[in-house]
Amino acid sequence: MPLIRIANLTYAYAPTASTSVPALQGIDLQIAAGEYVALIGANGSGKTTLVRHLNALLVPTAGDVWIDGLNTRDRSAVRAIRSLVGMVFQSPADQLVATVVEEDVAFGPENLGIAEDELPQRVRTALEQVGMWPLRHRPPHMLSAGQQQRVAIAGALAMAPRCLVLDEATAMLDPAGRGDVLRVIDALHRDGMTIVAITHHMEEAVGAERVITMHQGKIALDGTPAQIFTAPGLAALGLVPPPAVELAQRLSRRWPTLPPGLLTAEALASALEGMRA
Amino acid sequence: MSGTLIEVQGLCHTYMAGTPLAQPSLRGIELSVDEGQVAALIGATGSGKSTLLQHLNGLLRPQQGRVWVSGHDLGDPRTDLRRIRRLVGLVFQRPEDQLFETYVGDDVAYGPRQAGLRGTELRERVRWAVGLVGLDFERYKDRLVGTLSGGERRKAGLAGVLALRPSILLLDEPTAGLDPAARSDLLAQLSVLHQQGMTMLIATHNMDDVAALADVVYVLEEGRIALRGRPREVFAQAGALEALGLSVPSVVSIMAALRATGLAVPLSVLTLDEAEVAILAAVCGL
Amino acid sequence: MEEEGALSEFEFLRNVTIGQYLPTGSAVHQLDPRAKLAMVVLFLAGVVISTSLAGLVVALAAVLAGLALARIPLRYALQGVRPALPFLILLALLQVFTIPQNDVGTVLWKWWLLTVTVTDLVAAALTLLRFVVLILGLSLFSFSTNTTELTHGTEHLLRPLQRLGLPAHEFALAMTIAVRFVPLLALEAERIAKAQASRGADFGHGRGSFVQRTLRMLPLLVPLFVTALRRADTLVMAMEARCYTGGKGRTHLIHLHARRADAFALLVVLLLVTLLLTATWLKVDARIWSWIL
Repeated sequence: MPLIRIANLTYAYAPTASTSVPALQGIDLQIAAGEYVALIGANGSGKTTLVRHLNALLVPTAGDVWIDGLNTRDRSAVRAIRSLVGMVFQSPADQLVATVVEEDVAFGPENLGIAEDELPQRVRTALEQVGMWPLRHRPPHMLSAGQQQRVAIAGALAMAPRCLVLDEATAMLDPAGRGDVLRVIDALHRDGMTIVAITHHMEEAVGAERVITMHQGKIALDGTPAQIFTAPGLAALGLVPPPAVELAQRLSRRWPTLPPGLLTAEALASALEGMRA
Repeated sequence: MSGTLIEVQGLCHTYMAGTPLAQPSLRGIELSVDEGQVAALIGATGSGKSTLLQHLNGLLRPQQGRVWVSGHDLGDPRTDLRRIRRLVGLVFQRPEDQLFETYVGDDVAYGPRQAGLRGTELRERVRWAVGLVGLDFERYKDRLVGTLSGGERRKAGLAGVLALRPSILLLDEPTAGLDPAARSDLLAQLSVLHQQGMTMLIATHNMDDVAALADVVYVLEEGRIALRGRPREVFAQAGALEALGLSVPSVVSIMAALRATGLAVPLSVLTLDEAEVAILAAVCGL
Repeated sequence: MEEEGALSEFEFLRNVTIGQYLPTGSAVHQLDPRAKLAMVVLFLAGVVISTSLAGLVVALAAVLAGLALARIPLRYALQGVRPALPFLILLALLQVFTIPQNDVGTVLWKWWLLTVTVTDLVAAALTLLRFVVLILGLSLFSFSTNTTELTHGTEHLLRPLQRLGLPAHEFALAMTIAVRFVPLLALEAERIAKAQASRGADFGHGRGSFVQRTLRMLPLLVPLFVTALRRADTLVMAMEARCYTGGKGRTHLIHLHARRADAFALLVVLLLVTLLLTATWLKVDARIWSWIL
C-alpha cells in the first residue's frame, strides 16, 4: 500500500461561487514510502493547495486522499494523519511558537500527549538530526533564518512522522542557509523519510528521485528529473531547466555521443572527460 | 559623459549606538557609482547591504564618513531629504508588502501625489510608471490589489517607486521569492531600465541576478568591502567568495566543476552562451 | 538585521527599562518565576495601600537591596525613573502648594495664597517615594525574569484553574506568541514606514484632526495589519499541523521546581508587606515624628 494515495482529487476554494475555477482538478497520484518527490510549477498551479491535503489542513471537495490507509475526511483520524505527515512552511519565524528552541520542538509531542519521560528524548533526537542541539536554549529571534528553519524541521521530526512536506522551505534563505537545510533533508531521506518538497529552485528538483510538475490545477508531467528536464514543452509550463541541464543539452546537439540525461555539472564534467579519452 | 553619481567615503554605522546592545554594521565603506552604471552589492545576511542602501536616500544619516548623491551631501542637516527621495528611489524587499490602496492605480499614484502632482499630470505619470514595469495601464489601473499574482504585485510595488521618476534606483533583493518566470520577467524589465540610462544599485545574494545585470560588483563582509571589480573578475575568485559564505553564478560553478576534472575552461564566463563557446574551445583543444 | 532572524535596532526601546531583561545570573534571577510573580504582586499591593512614610522608606531600602542582590547597576535602574520624573515633580509641587483643606499641621511658610505645611511636605514625599519604589520594584522584576519564565510562571499558577474550565494554556500560549511577535511586528512597522517614507510619505507628527492623522497613517497601518494577519494565518496552520487543539490532554516538557530559597524570598516579602500595612495601621509615622520633635 502506498503511503500517500490520491484519487480524483478536486478542490475549489469557494465551491458555491459560479465563477470559481477549481484549484485542483481530478488529481490522481500515489507516493510510496521513502520516495523523494519534488513538486514544481508556476505560481498558482496548485502545488500548495495539493500538499495541504496531505495533512488534512484541507479536505477534498471531491475525490479522496488516503494517508497510510486513513482517509483525510475522517475527523477522528486527523491526529494520526498529522503525526504521520509533518509540514514545514516557507516563513521560518511564522512557524515557531515558543521563545526557546527546545520548547518549540517539544510543542508537537506535547500536543499529542506524549508521556513526559519520553519528551526530552524526542526533543533531543529531533534537534540532533538537524544539528541544532547545541543551540537548544536560544530564543528563535537570535537565530539566522536557516537555523530557524532547521528548528521548524526538528519540530516536525519530534512527532516521529513518516513523511515530511516542505512548502518552499528554502525560499527565504540565503545560499548558506539553503545548503544547510538541503543537507538535513538529504540525510533524512537516506534514513527512509518520505519527502515531498515544493520548490522554485530547479537545482533542488534535480536532487530528487521524482519530479512532478503542475499546471493550472492538474499534474502535467511526472517522472525522473532527467525525464522532466529534457521534456519538450517545459517552457510552456513556465519552467526553465537548471543551467547545467541546459548546457548539457546544447552540447549534446553538437556531440551526439554525450550521454543523455546529464543533470549536474559533475555529471557533465565526467561525461566530457569520458568523451575526450 | 558620465560622472560619478554616488560617492561614499569612510562610512561607518553602529546599531543602537550608545546602548549595551550596540553593534557595528558598517565599518568604513568606500564606493562610487557612475551615471548609468549598475552596481551590485553582494553579501550574506547581516553583512550590511540594507543598511548601506538606506544611507543612500537619507533614511539613515551618516554617523561617520560622507555620502554624496548627485552632488548633495547627505550628512548635511540642511539637505532637503524629500528632494533626495524623488531623486533616489529605494525599493525595499518584498515591495508588494507596502501596497495599501484598494486599486492598483491609486497605490502607484501615492508617491507622485505626495510630491504634489494632480489631475492629468498625475494620471499620465501613473500610466508611464505602470507601463515601465510591463503592465498595461488600462487593464491594471482599476484592478483590485488583492486579485494580482505575486509577480504582478511586486511590479506594482516597483511602479510605485518608479512613479517618482528617480534617476537612481536602489533595489533590495528584487527577485527574492519570485517563481522562475516572474523572475526572468523582472530582470528583463530592469535590463530595459538600464538601457534607458537608469543608474542602479542592487543588493542581492542571488548571483545569477548579478551576472545578468551588473557592470561593477562590491562584495560586503561584516560591514566592510571585501572584494570589488567587474563581475568576471570577482566571480573568478570563487574560492574567496565561498570562504565568505557566498556562491557564484551557476554558470561559474559549472565551469569550476569542469576545471576540477582537468578541462582548461576559464572561470570568467557570465552566460550560458559564453560557457558553451568556452567548453567547445577547450574540448577541441584550442 | 536586514532580515528576520537577527534582532534589529529599535531606537525607541533605548530609554525604556521596564520590560528589559538583564541576564546577570544572580540568585534573584534563579528564583522560581511563580514565587517572583507572587512577590511582585504582593509587594505592589503593599506599597500602594501603605500611607506610612517610614514603611515606604523600608520598602525602598528593600528594593535597593534586591537590585544589588540581582547585580543590576543602580544607575541603569534609576534611568527607568527618569521619564516619569517631570510628572512626579509636578505632582509633588501641586501637593506642597495647595491650600490646606483642614487646618492640619504646622505652617512652615506662607505667601499670599500659597501655604506650605508639614502635612503637605509629607504627602508630597509619600507620593514621590511610592512612585519610585513601584517603578524600581517592577524594574527589578523584569530585569530578573525573562519572558519565557514569565509565561511558564503564569501558566503554572493558572493550571489548577484549568480544571475549572479556565483556558490556562491557551492564555499562556497567547502571551508567549504576543511576546515573540511584538518585536517582529515592530520591525515590520519600521520597514514599512521606511518604505513609505522613501515614497514621500509624511506621517504628520501630530498635525491636523484625528481623522486627518489616521488617514495619513494608512500607508503604514494597512500593510501592517495585512502582514500581521497573514503571519497569524501561517502560524495557525503551523500549529494545527502540529496538532494543537487547546490545553486539554497536553503533557509538558518544562516543570518548575520550587526550592527553599523561593519560600524564603517569599517569606521576606510577606514580612515586608506586613510591616508596611502595620506601619500604616498603627500610625507609626506620627509616633516617629513626636519622638523626633
